[in-house]
Amino acid sequence: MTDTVTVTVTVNGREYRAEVEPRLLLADFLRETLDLTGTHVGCEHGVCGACTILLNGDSARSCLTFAVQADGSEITTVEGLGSEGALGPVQQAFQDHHALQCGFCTSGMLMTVTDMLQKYPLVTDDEIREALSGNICRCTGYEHIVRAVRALVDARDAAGETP
Amino acid sequence: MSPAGDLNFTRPKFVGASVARREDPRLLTGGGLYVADIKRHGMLHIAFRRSDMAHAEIRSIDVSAALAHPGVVTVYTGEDIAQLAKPYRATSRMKNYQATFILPLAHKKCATSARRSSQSSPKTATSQRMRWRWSISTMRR
Repeated sequence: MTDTVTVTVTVNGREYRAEVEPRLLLADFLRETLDLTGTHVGCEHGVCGACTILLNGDSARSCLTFAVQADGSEITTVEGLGSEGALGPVQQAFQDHHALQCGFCTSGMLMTVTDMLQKYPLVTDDEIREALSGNICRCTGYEHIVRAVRALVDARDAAGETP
Repeated sequence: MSPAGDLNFTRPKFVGASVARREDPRLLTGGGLYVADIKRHGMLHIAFRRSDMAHAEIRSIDVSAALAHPGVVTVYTGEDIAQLAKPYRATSRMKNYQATFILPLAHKKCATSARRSSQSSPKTATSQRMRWRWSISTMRR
């Protein structure tokens, strides 16, 4: 049997320690080991964006990252953005603008949007589309997702928090 | 007053309104239950080995390496389940469509055409022959 490695990570503010095989993907670590199935695995090769998480504050593909690479890091997944009774601002904007249908891509979308709001001015809708281009959605046609992000950008700018 | 005469009864509630979906809070917080999220006791992973060649004749399938791999529970070939599964015949209204029989796992041929298999003759020597040797590195997870 393969040797295992001890991994310690903080996910959504809670610390986890686990023995994992070095080849275990971070996406599978979150889903199978920690049972956080809100992070979805679509293409398994970094194209669809469904597995996007925040790794030390930056959006990252958890299907292209090994769990051992995340040792000692801070991770935020969709479960850390809010709860059903108290949606976070990005989640609320997605609901308000009907920016989801089946919900499969939504977790990754929410993480990407959380990251882009902190980093980019997103002055035009073209810039929003460019920033969303790493996340594939097969239901919505993106129009409502762009509207949700536009509303979030406007609220951010009105609060004087433009990066 | 009859229900038909009651405007509040007959007027549709949701037409022209933006209706919040009940499933959204669940889906937005990672609470959706997709097939890959389902866990049942004793559940195993499955991997399918697909043919390297189209419409090839299967001469033999050597599954010994796959079976010897640690963690592999079993390996099935089309032959193993031939008695369990009847071929499904996919038809179409398209003119001159050649309906084919489909098996859940390839048996004897990678794709079996009803007409061609009944006409099997030395003339079909162009069909490729293959021997599978199965080595699996990704089956166990």
